[in-house]
Amino acid sequence: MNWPTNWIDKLTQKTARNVAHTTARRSFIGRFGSVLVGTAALPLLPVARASAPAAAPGESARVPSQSTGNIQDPGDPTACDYWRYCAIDGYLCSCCGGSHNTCPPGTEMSPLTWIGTCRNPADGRNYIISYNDCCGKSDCGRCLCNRNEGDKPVYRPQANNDIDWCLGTTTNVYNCSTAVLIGVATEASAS
Amino acid sequence: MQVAIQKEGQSAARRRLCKHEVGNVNKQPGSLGRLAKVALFAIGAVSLGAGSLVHAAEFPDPLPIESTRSVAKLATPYPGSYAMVHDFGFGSLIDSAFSLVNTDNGRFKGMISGGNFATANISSARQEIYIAETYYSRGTRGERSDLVTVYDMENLDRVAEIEIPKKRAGIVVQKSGTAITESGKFYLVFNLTPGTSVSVVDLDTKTFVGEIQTPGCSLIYPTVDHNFFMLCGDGKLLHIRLDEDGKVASQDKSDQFIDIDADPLSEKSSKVGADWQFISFQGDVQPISAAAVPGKRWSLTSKRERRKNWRPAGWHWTAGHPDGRLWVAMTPNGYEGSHKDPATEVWLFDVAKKKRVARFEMNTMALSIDVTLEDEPRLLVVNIEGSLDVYNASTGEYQRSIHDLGASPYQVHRMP
Repeated sequence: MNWPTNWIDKLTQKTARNVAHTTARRSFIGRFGSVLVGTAALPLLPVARASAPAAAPGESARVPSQSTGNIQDPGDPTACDYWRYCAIDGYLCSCCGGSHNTCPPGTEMSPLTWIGTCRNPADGRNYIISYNDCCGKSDCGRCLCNRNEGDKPVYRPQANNDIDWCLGTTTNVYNCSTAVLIGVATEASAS
Repeated sequence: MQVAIQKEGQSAARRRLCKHEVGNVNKQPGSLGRLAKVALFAIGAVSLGAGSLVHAAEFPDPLPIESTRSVAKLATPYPGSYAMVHDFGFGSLIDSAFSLVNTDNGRFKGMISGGNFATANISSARQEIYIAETYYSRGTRGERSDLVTVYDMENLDRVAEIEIPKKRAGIVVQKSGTAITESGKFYLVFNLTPGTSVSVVDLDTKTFVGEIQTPGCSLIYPTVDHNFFMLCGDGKLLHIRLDEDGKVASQDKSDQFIDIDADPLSEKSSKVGADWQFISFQGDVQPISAAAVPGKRWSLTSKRERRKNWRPAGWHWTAGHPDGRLWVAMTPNGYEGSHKDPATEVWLFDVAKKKRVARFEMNTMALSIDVTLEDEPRLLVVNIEGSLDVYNASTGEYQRSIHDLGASPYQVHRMP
């Protein structure tokens, strides 16, 4: 599924969600940090930092970092700034018992999905990434990662991140999201 | 006339409310079972002491016996100050909730449970609340049921469960996923499989009466009578007119009027009078008339404000009033993808004059807004802390906050 936005940090923290950071999120905190610090309920401050790259100085990561083991596929798949997640929005399956391209045990990968085009910093190529949801168990609740760049309204479903993409599966109960590499983008399809 | 009725209803409701706000009404005062008597005796024996004996002389009569079967009822119709806050149910999405609160005094009045990706609509004419929801027979598995569940407003209890096709769209908190037609006769449910269609429910008979295929077009915006329009992925709208049986009498598609790639209209729209007011990500207002005809665009922001990237932001960022006013949640320093960031201010516009009337700084940043239809309307703001902040909608004066409204409250519905 695709998910709500940065501000759910506060709401999800109530149930001990782990939230990965994005560039957008960090810039958001930068702009509004002083406002947030001043509020009693500490909207973003205690929110879990999903992985080492996103952890602020003095904080420890709440999720062990991972690697693809391939230097041509760099980054930490438990971190929201992993290159394949440029258009992802949901709980990262890497933090939920699966991986960046594999669903957790006992869940079912949705055959229907939304697509992003992400640039691999290692080889400089643009790849087509399929954000298949994993379905059939309740929300994993770990490493929530949201980016709204390129997000369009619901009436363009294939580019919308409010929609539950557990479609064509046994149930529409959402668990987490993957980022499966399905092709190299041509220049025309890269964005 | 409608206003007068509402005012009368409000005052009557307030009078009756006094009774309930003090305490619950006992359905069955009187006898206690033997076990209960024994239990009470035991508790009483423990608590007896010198102190209580001393004061017994001042209170010769004991407190009256109370029923153990007391359940509250709500006075109806609700005052216009009531509102329903939608908890998306983060952490367990199959169990969402709607909390009914009185924004006039901050009291929690009751709640309704909702299923997976539920939506809510309220009919003051029928005195009913409709929840469109999806369940599985064994929680996260089993047989799927898509329902329109009907609740009465006095008891917040189910009065009907209407089975609809197992196709309803799973969308994060979306007001336009369902709608009551202006005629009040039909309830419409948007389906996404990802093929798009609309399920039609007759509210007179409480039955599903048919499905309308709407390829490429999504969500539901009622106009007049049984009519509504949908927005389409090609930047056009689809206008559908239903007959008395809920079948399509006629339909037509507009020319393209939305550039979805450059500056899409947010689907989280509000009605001001007869017109729907859509706001683009960049801050343009696009009215759509009761005849489903797009009107002339205008901008929420001045050139200077655009340079500072003041943009609409939040979840449901618009609220409208029949008197011609539109409230929009706004944030500065917008960027590509900022359209779901929380808002620092709410701006108030006069739609007829296409002019801003006021801007209100939020105590706590806003996610979703609505405005009540009271004589002195209140601005209702679900904030990033998950509380409901209440402001005077005309002056922006802060009134109160209502806290602890679920795991992830995203949206608020006023009383219609």
